[in-house]
Amino acid sequence: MVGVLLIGSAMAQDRRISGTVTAEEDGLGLPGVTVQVSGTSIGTQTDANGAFSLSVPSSAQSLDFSFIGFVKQTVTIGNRTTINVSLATDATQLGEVVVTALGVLREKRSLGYATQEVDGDALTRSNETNVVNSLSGKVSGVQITGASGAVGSSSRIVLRGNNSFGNNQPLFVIDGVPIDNSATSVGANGSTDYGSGIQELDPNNIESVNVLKGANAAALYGSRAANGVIMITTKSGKGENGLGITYSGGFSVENVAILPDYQNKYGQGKTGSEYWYKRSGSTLSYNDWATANSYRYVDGMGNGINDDVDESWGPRLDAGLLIPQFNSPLLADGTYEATPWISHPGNVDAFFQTGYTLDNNLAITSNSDKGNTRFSYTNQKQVGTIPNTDQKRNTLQLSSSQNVTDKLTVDALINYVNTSNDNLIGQGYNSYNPLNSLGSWFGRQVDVEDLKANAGKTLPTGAPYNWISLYHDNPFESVNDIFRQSRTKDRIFGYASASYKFNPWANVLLRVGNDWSYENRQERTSNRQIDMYLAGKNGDFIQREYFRNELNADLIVTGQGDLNEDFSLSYTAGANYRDNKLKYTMIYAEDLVVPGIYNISNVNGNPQAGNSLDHIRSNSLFGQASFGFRSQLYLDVTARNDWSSTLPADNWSYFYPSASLSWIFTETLDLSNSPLNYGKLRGSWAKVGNATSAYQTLSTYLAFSPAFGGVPQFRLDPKLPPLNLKPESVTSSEIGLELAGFNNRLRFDATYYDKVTTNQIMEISLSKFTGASSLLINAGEIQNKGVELHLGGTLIDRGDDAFRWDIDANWARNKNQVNKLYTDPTTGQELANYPITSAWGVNISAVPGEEFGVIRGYAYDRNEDGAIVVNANGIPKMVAQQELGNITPDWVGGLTNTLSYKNVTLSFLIDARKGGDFYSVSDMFGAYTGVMGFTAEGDIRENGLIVGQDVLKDFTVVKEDGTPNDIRTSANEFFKGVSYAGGGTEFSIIDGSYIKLRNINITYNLPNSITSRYSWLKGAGVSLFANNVAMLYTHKSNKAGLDPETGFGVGNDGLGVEQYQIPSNRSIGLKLNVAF
Amino acid sequence: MKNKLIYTLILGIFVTSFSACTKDFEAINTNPNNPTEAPLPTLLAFALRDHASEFYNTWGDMNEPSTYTGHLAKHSYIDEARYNFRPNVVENMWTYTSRQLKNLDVAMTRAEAEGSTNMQAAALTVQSMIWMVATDRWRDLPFNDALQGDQGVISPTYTKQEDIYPVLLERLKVAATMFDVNGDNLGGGDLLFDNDIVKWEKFANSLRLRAAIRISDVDPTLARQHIEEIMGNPGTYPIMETNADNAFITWPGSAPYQEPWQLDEEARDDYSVADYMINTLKDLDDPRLPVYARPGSNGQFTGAPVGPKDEEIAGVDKSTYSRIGARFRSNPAGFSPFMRASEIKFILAEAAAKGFNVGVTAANAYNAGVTLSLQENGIQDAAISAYLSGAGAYDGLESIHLQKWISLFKNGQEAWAESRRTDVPVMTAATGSPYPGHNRPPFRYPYPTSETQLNQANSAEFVAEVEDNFWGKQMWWDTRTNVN
Repeated sequence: MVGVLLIGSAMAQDRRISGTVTAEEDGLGLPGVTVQVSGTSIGTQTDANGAFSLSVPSSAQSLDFSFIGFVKQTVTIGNRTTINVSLATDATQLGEVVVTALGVLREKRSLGYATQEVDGDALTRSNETNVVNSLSGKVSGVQITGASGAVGSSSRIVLRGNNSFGNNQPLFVIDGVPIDNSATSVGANGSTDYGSGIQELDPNNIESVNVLKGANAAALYGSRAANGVIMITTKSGKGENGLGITYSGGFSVENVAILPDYQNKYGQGKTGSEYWYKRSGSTLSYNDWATANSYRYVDGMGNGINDDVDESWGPRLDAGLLIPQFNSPLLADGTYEATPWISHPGNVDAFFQTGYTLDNNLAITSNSDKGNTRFSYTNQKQVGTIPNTDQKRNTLQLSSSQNVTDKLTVDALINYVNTSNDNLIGQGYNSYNPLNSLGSWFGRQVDVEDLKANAGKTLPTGAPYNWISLYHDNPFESVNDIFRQSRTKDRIFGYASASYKFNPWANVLLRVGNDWSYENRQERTSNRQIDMYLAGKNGDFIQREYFRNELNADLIVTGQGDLNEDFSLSYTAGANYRDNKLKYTMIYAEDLVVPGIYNISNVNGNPQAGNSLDHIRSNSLFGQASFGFRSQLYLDVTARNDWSSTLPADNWSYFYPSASLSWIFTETLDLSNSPLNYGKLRGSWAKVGNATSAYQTLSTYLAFSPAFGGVPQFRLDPKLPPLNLKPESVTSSEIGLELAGFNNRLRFDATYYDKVTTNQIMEISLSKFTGASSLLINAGEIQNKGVELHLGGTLIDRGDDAFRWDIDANWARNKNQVNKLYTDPTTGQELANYPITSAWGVNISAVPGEEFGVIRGYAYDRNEDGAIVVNANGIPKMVAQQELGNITPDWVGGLTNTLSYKNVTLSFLIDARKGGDFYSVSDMFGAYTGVMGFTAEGDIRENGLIVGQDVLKDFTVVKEDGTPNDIRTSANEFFKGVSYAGGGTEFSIIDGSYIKLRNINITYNLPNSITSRYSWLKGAGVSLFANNVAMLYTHKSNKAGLDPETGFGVGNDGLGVEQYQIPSNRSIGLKLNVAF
Repeated sequence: MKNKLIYTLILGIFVTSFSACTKDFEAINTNPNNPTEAPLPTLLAFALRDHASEFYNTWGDMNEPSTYTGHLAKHSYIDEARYNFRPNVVENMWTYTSRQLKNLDVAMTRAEAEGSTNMQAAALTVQSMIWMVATDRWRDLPFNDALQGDQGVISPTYTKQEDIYPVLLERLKVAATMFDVNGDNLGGGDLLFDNDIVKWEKFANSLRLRAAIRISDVDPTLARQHIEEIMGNPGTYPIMETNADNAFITWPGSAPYQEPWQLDEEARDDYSVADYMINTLKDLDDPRLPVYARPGSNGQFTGAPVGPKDEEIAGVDKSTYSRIGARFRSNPAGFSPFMRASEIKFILAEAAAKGFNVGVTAANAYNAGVTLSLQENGIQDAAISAYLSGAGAYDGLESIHLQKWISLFKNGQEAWAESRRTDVPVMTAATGSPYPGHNRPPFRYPYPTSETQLNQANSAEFVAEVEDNFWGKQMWWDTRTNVN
C-alpha cells in the first residue's frame, strides 16, 4: 500500500480537469466524493459544494467517482477539461451510516467488526411489546429465550454464546447512554418474573437497533459491554420541515400455542387400571373394585379412597364407570352420588383464556432548520392467557435537538414509563403456578369448567371448592383471588447534552444521562389458600420496594477530517463517570389478624423487615482513533481505562485496548467489471475488562431473622471473600468478510470469532464441608469460537411496481469450551466442576474441557455392551452423575422471506435451533403422576409392559444376569421408577431442537396515487400478522410435546431446566399506521 | 493559537475530573448492610436453632429417619418411606450440617481468642454432637480437612468413620473439662440450658457416652475406656440424671418458631405412627401408647405399614390409622429432643450388660431409664411400677435396646442409628421400595450431587460404596451380618 502511494505522488501531472459532482436525487453538490484517475492512485475529493479540480497525467483515460452510499461511476475523459457527474444512490445502502459505541456515527464500511442493524419498523410490525423478543431470528449469533407466555416475563438474550459464569446479558444503550436492564433473579426453581429493564422501552420510539456482537464492537463501553452491546437509536423529529403527526395502533389476540400432550384414558387415583384389576383376581365388577380400591371421593382429604391422591393412575375413563366425584350431587346421607367417570380432554386448555395486546401510539414531530422535536405517547395494555394477569404501560417521550448556533447543538431526551400489573403469574415449581397442579399433580378426569363455575365457593367440609382439599388450590381461585403478585413501577430516563463544534477537528460533547426508577411489588396469599385454610391462618404478604438510579456523565471530544489527499482521521476521546445505586426495602407479615387487609399494621405476630443498599461507582477515560486510507482501508484503535469502586485499591484501575482493520478490497482491486460490487475484509482484536458487584471484598455476618424468642441470630456469610480480586478480562478476535454482487442482489456477511474470557470474577460453589458454600474468585477461562453467516438475496425484482422476492438468512454456530476453572493459590487444590444450576437431581455445570452447560444426572445403568439393565422388578437400574447432554445448541438460524407486489408485502420468518438439551420437570413429574400421553400409550395400562419391548423400544434391555428382559411390570411402577421414585433423570432429558414458523406478516401501504390526492395525508398502511404460528419440528425425545424454548428470567439460574413453563402464546393481530 | 487554547481547555477538564476519581471508592464499597463482626452468642443461637429446625422437622426427621426406624409411617405421599429418592433433601441436609459445623467452628476460634472458655466448650460440645449426626448419616466424610475453605482447602479429603469417632470422644472429653461454672456467660445464645453450665457439662459427658456405646461392638476397648473414665469420676464428669437435665430445644410457639412437627400438622396429615411402634407398645401393654399415638377413627390403635406398595393398601381407610400423639404433634411451643436422660440410663444399662464397670447393674440402669422415659411422658408412678414388674421388666440386652428405641421417639436420627446398630426391633425393607432385593431399611444417606461434582477426586471412592442410594457399605459400628 505504501509503495503504491509513493509511486502515485511521484508521477508527472500535465493536465487539469475540474467539475462538479451532484446527487442524482436532488441535484445538490456532493462533498467528499473521491475522484480518481482509473487504474492509478492519483485522486482528490470534492469540496463542500461538490466541486473538484485534479491534475491528471496525459496517459489518463478515465476518472472514477466514488462515494459512500452512491453507485460508483467511471467517466471517459476524452478531450474534456470539465467533467460534471451526477451520482445515483446505491439502493443497497452498503454505505449506510451506523451508530457505534458512545453514539458516534460511523460509516459501516469503516468498521472492522461485525454489527447488524434492525430497522425499527421491523420491530413494531407485529405488536411485540418486548424489544428483545422482536429481535428473534433477525440477527445472526443471537440466542433469545423468551418462551414463557406469562405477561410481563423477561427474555434472555445472549450474543455469541455464554461467556460468563455470571451475567451473560449484553449492555443496552439508548442514544449513547447505557440504561438499566436489571432483573431480579427468578431463581433456579422459578418465581414471579417481573421482567427486565429493557422491556420498559417502547418499541414505537425505536428508530433502529444495532447489535454490536463481540467485545470488539464494544471496547469503548468497557466493563459491561463484554457480552456485546445493543445500541438503540430513538426516533427523532427529523424529516420534512413543519409539523408531522403519526398514529399507529395495534391489536392482537393471544392464545396458548403449545400444550403438552396429556392422556385421557385414566383418571385420578392409584393402581386403578385394568392391569391391576385383573391382577387382583377380584370377583367384584370393575366398577365396584375401582371404587373400593382405586378412587372414590369423600372429602378430598384422604377419607375416601385415594381422594387425596393428586395422580392419574386411577380407574379407566369413558368405560361406563360410575364413581362418586367432587362435583357429584351430594346425597342426603352426606355422601356423593356415583356419577359417570368420563374424560375431559380439553381440561388444561380450558384453564387458559384468550389474551390480548392493545398498543396505541401517537407521535407529533416538528422539524425546522433550527432543529427538531418529537413527542410520543404510547398506551399499551396486555391481558394474559392466564386469567387475571395483565400489564398496563404508559410511555411519554419527548426528544429535541436544537441548533442554537451553527456550532452549538443541544439535545435532550426524556422518557417516562409507568408500568402496572394487577397480577403476574408465578412460574416454576411453586404452588402459585397453577400449571404445577394442572400440568402433572392432577386428576385427568377433572372438569375444569366446573372448577371455574364454582371458584370461590365452599365445600360441605368448609374447604374451598376444589377437586382435592389438600396440597392444591382451585386454579381459577388461585389466580383470581388467592395469590396476587402486583407491581407498579415508575421510571424516568433520559439525557441532556450540549455539543459545540469548534472546528471539524474538535467537537465537544457534554452529556448527562440518568435512569431512575421506583418499583413497588406486593405478593399476597389469602386465607383461602389450602395450607392457610388448613392451618387456620389468615393470609400473608410481602411488600418490596426497589429504588434504582444510574447516572452517567460523559465528556466526549470527536473530530474528523483528511490528513492529506490519501489519509483521513476520525477520533473520539472522552471520560465517563458512572454512579449506580440500588436501595431495597421489604416488609413481611407471616400471618394476618383480619383476612384481606394487606397492611403491616394487620400483622398477626411480629412484622419482619429488611433493607439494603448497593452502591457502585466507576470512572473511565477512553479514546478511539480511526485512520482511513482512500476510503478503502481503515484502521481503528481504541483504549480505555476504568477505575471501579468494587475492586481492591491495588487493582481498581485497569486498562484495555482494541484494534481493528477494514479493507474494501473491491475499491483497491478495481473489480468494477466483475459481478462483485462490493467486498470487504475485516479483522479485529479487543480486550475488555470487567469489575464486579458491590461489597465483595470482605466477609460479613448475615442476620437470621426474626429473633428466636427474643434471641438474635447471626451466621457467617457462606460466601468466602476473594483473596486478591482482579478485574476480569475478555479477549476477542474476529475476522469477517462482506460481499455484494450481481448488482447488489446477493449480499453475504460472514464472521469468525474467537473469544476468551479469563480471570473471571465468579462465585464458585464449594464442597459444603469446606465450611463455605461459595468463594468469589478470579479464575476460569471460557472460550467461545463461532461462525456467523448472514445471506441476503433479491431473488426476483421486476421493478418498483412489480413483484419482488427477498430472502434473508442468518445462521450461527457457537462452539463453547470451558478451558479452566480454578486452582487455589495456597493449597494448589483444583476445582473440577462449576455448577450453573441444579434441579431434582440434575446438575448443569461447567466442566474443564467441555462445553458450558453439561447436564449430569441419574442415567440408566448399562452393562458392558451398552444394554440397559433392569432390576428384579423389571425397572431400569440407575447410576448417579452421568453426562446426559448439554444445554448449548449446536446452531441457531433464521430465514425471512419477503414477497412484495406493488403495495402489498408478505413476509414470514422461520427459525430453527439444532440441539440444546434440557431437563423437563413437566415430563418427569408428568410421568410420575401418569398425566402425560405417553403414560397410557397402546395397552400398557391394561396389560402392563416389558421395558425394551413396550417402552424404551429403541434400547436393548437386559436383566441383571444379562438375558433379555422379559419381566412384565405395571405402567405406574415403570414411569415412577424412571422418574422421581427411582431417582431417574435420563428419561426426561430432551433434545431442544426445533423448527418454528415464528411469524407471518402481510402489510399493505396506501399507494402514492391515493395519498397524493389528500394533502393532509402523508401515508397509511395496515399489517396483519401472526406470531409463533406453528411448530414445524421437534425432536423425538420431546415425547411430552413441550415447547423446547424454555427457561425463565435472564440469569443463568434455571438454564436448561424446564419447570411447568407457562405455555408460549400464538398471537394474531392487526397493526395500523397513519402519518399526517 | 485558538485551537491550542481549546485543546488545553479540554485536557484541563479531563485532568480535573480525574484528579479525585477514586477518592470515595473505599467508602462506597464498604458494606452498609451486614457487619464484619457479630456477637458470639448469636452464632451459638443460630447453630442450635438451625439444628433443631432442620434435623427435627418433616424433612430432617419425620420423612426419613423416623420412618426408617419404624417410629412413623406415611399414609399419604408415602414417597420417602418408600425410599423414593429426593436429591434436594440429601443436598439440604449436607448443607445444613456443614453450616452448623462452620458457625460453631467460628464461635470456637473466636471464643478461644477472647478467652471465653464456656462459649468455646459449648460450641465444641454442640459441634461434636452434630459431627456424630453427620457421620451416622454418611459414614465417611470430610472431617480432618473440613471447614478450612477459608484457608484454601477447597477439596477436603475424606476421613473414615473409624477415625472420626475416636476424635469426637477426645473432643467431648476436652469440652467437658473446659466448662467452668465461674467462667463466662453464654449470653442469650444458650437455647438449651439457659446458662446452666453444670447442665452443659452433663450434656458433654452424656454425648461422650452416646458416642462410646455406639462403637462398643466394634471397638469395645475404646468404648470401655471412655465409659469407665466418666463413670469412675462422677465429680469430674457429671452426667444427665433426671429429666431436668434433658437437652431440649423448647420452641417459642409463634410463627415462624413453632415446633416443627406441629407446624407440619397445620397443613398436612401425612403421618401415622408406624405399625412397628404401635405393635411393640401394644405387646408391652405400654402406658406410653396413648401418649405416642391417638386412636384411629374406629377407636382402635392401629399402626400404619411403613412404605407399602399402592396395591397393598388399596381400599384401606386411612382414617383408621393412629395419628401421632398430641404431646409430640400438636404443641406449637413443644420441644425438639437433642438428648434425654433416659437415653443415658439405657447406655449405662447396656455398658453394664457388656461387663463395663459403670457402678450400676444393667437392671437398675434399665429401670431408671424406663422410669425416666415414662415420667417424661406423664405416666404416674403406680403405672410405672406396674409396667416394670410386668411386660416392661428387664430381660437382658434386647430389652434395653427395645426400651431405648421406644424412648427415642421424636429423635428419629438417634433411633435410626440404634436400629442399624442393634437390629431391635427387626424390620424389613419397605415393600413399596423401588430398589428390590434389600432386607433392611436404609443403611445410610447417599452423598449429595454437589459433593460428587465439587469434590469428585476425594469423594469418588466413597460414592462408589453406596448402593441404590440408601444402602451399600454399612456403618463402621453396624455389626449386623446377613443384612443388605
